[in-house]
Amino acid sequence: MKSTLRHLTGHPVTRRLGEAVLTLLGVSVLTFLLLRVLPGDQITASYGIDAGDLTGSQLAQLRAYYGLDKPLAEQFLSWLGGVFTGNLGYSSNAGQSVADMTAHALPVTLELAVLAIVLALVIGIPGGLIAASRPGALRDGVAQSASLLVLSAPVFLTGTVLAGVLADSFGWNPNGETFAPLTEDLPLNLQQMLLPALVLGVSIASPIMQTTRTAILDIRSEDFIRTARAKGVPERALHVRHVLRNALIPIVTMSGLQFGFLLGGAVVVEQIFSLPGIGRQVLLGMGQKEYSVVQSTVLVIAVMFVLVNLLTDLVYRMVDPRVWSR
Amino acid sequence: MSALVEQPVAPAAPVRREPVLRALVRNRSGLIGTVLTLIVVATAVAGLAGALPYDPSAQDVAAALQSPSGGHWFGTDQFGRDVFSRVASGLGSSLLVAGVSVAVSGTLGVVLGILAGYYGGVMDRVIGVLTNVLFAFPSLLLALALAATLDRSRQTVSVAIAVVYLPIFVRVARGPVLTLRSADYVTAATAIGQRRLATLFTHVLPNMRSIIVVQVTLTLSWAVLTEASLSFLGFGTPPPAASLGVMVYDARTLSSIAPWLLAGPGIALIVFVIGLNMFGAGLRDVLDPRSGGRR
Repeated sequence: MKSTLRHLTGHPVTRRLGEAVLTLLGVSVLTFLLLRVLPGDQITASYGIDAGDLTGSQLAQLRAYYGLDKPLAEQFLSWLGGVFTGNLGYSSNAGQSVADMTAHALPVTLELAVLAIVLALVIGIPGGLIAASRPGALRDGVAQSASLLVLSAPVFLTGTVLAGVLADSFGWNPNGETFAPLTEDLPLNLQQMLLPALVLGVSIASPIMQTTRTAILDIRSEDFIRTARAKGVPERALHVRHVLRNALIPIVTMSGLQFGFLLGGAVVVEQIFSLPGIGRQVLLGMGQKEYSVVQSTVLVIAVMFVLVNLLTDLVYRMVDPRVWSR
Repeated sequence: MSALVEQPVAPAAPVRREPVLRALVRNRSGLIGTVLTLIVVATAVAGLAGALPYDPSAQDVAAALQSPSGGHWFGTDQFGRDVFSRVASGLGSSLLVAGVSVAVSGTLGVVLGILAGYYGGVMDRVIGVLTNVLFAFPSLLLALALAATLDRSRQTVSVAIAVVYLPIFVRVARGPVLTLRSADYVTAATAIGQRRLATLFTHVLPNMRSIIVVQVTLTLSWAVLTEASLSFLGFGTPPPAASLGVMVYDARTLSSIAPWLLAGPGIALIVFVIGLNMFGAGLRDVLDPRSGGRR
């Protein structure tokens, strides 16, 4: 424990943490600027065409009210200060603060992401094991082809086809009903989550399968496996305790890296399956030109992504001491 | 998916045994990929040039919702428009957008990556932070946010997609430069008094060609998917131009009575992306003998 603490203050990890802080700062600057470089501003955005009817002095008053007449750096700092104190803006369409909206939407997306990762691991790891069990054989070819097919079919297409086929041919469309939160109606909630999680899960099962296959093949040719085999470790124990256990490190890393893809894909599947998650919140904000909603939600997603990547990296370093000091 | 490319590929050996094209055709994945890509690109070019059996936006209500036949290969939609012509025109559109965006992000990304890797120091740090910041956004989300804030046109969609894939090229180019920087022939070039910039472009860049070419084909396939996803969500190529994503979206409600409306654009999209992926995999095997077709 003591040595762990000493390691923590050592530079590689500290540097990684510093990098994450710098990235987060850059992310907030970019999200802030994204909406300031727009032609027009918050006023023209929220008043739409009616903004044309405003007189010069009305416009100036509104600008002063929203603080848009202040220097850009000052506006940024005041916005960032708001974000830190939990003020993510207000949505006049929803009649709710963006923080409240996000508090409702985030659990939906996180549940979706967790289910998708579980499904991806359940499909990807056995797939990779099967492919690696005899590289170059028929089963490997089939697994590789399936993986390529999955990688080439966009989430919006598989989602649309799956939802269409099940609703048309079997009359099964749980997502047609009002969304049931996890805590209120678990059976319906799981039915509504099944298809979107499956669509996302299958799409990231492909990189997980590839990683499993490569890792297994790499580890199988390592010296310690030969030693274990020479020692008389039974084949089965060898595969589970030595090969698979070591292969888990890259698999976990790959799963962490896929989190960002999940968050992007969530925008699409939440739209197709009418799930009130954070991706849908972004899309609605864009459609209604409520830029404060878009800005804050994008920021929340990016921050989550940076933190998950940081966590994956740290876990990776802890599990594999060889990279700790790198 | 970006994670797949983050492991830097070792620079290809300078000695090449046979012409790239011949080797590519002898590689199974390369051959299938080349054929599929050629078919799709030919269709897309026909779509862009307007050399199609029907005008993609011409309506003919009398011929609405016909299933695929000799006259209409992919059937017709609810307005009697020829689905094949619309798919071809949509392929043209996505090829154009993906091509422009990858050209922009590839050029800019490789230049930034070389500068970061070769000069190091402050330049490397600054470019590194910018790259990390762009990587911090899920790619589809960043593209969406950019495309939604800019005016909707083919150009802005291309710019949005270019920004998203810029950091990948920076990383892919920076890695090998770090090793090439201290290669003997680069030291030799410096020793005989060649300028740094000249060394960069005459010695370093040519040795990264294969890595960049492979990355370009892979990124093209992602750009095609991103463009289609943006269109599906309503933030892509604006109408009246046909777009594969919009076609899939519009087919949703009719999929039970006219499944061909979904099949046409869907299969075209998958074939396009599979072709590019296999072409890229074949190129990687051919250009980088060390990859040995393992992946």
